[in-house]
Amino acid sequence: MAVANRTGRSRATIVLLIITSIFLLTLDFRDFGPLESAQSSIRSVFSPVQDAADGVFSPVGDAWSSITEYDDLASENERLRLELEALQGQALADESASARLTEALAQLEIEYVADIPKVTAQVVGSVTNFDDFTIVLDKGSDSGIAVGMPAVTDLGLVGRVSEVDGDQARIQLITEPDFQLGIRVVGIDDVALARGTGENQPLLITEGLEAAEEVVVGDLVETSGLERSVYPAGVPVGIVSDVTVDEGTLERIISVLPTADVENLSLVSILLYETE
Amino acid sequence: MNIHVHPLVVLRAALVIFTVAIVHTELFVELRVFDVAPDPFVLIAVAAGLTAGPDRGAAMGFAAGLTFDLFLPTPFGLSALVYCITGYLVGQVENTLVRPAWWISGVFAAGGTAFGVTGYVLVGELLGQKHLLSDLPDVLGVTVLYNAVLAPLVVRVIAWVWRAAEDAPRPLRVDRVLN
Repeated sequence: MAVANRTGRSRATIVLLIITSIFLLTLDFRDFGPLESAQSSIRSVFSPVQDAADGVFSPVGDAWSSITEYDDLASENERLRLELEALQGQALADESASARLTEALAQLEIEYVADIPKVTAQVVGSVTNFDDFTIVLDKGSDSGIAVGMPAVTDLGLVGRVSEVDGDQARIQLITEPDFQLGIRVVGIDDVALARGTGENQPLLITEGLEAAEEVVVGDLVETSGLERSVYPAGVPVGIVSDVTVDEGTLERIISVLPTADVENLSLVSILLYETE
Repeated sequence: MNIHVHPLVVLRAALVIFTVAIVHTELFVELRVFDVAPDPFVLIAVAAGLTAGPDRGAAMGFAAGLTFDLFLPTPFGLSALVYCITGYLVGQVENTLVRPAWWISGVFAAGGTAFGVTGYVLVGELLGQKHLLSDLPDVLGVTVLYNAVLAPLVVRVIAWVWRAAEDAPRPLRVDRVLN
């Protein structure tokens, strides 16, 4: 009898918990505001303890990384040294070009990306084991970051802010299959829509470029900055890596390799840019 | 349905889950093998089911999963759903054991983790999280091994949670009637 009672109680417990979970999932799918606020509030309780624990645990994490990633770090160090030399030379040439560009954009009354204030934040370790096409930064709304703001590195666009707490922000990366953004190919007036296709995969432009026949491999792709776009104009997105023709629709499919190294980010800047 | 909850048990359970969340987000995520970190939250569900049966296994699995969901970009409630079922099933299977052996916690941790991680991916796919399946083989292999190694420690910690009711001089009984 006691065993039967216990079994019945266990079943009632699991049913209750499953119903509660499904209820929470439903609220989450409906973007129920109070639930998101509650999550954010609870995370903020963890936050100061996490900061304190970071100081304690980071030497252990660093030691582990230095053991398990020694070969990668050595080769990356060498690669970065070579890149630095090349960039120092390039910087000298860019300085004068940048001044000329700023002057030209000012005449056209277009906001230059370099003039938009930005906040640079560090990428913190991902909690999940699954590739979720997001990264978490160690700065949030306390630093002026808001949902929708563009995330960039010096090389170009990496994504946009999808979630923000007081001291953390989550960035949706441009490689996410659902990610879409308005772009234009430098030198061509048409604007088009590019979308992510997954990790280590190029973005694809499948429609919108009427002058697609003019696009060639190596062309630079940047944000279009159209009205109501969440991105300012002129942020580099990628380089055209392939142009093929869909045999069914005869439309051109343009592949764009992101200029930023989206898979290996350590520092990311958020442009404090909001659409009016 | 009567639910007996000693406040000290709740307090210790909350403390353990809070501590695991901090250790996981600040340490375990750095200790990756093949880019995979251990999953201590599903291990809490397994250890609770193993040490206190399906009822408490489900409850601890739910609480641990919900805490984990706070830090994940996947839908809120996904881990809670899968981990409460994991804790429940581990408790049910443990009830059938005649003579538990010393190595049983490792075996349960491996099996429970495999079930929990696979369930998370499959339910996630059903809910539109299309990117989870491709990583499953790697994640499964490493988390199963990691959790099997961590199991003896976590089982001891979870057993300490339940001992709160035994240690206390005057346990408080909360009766809640449902249905």
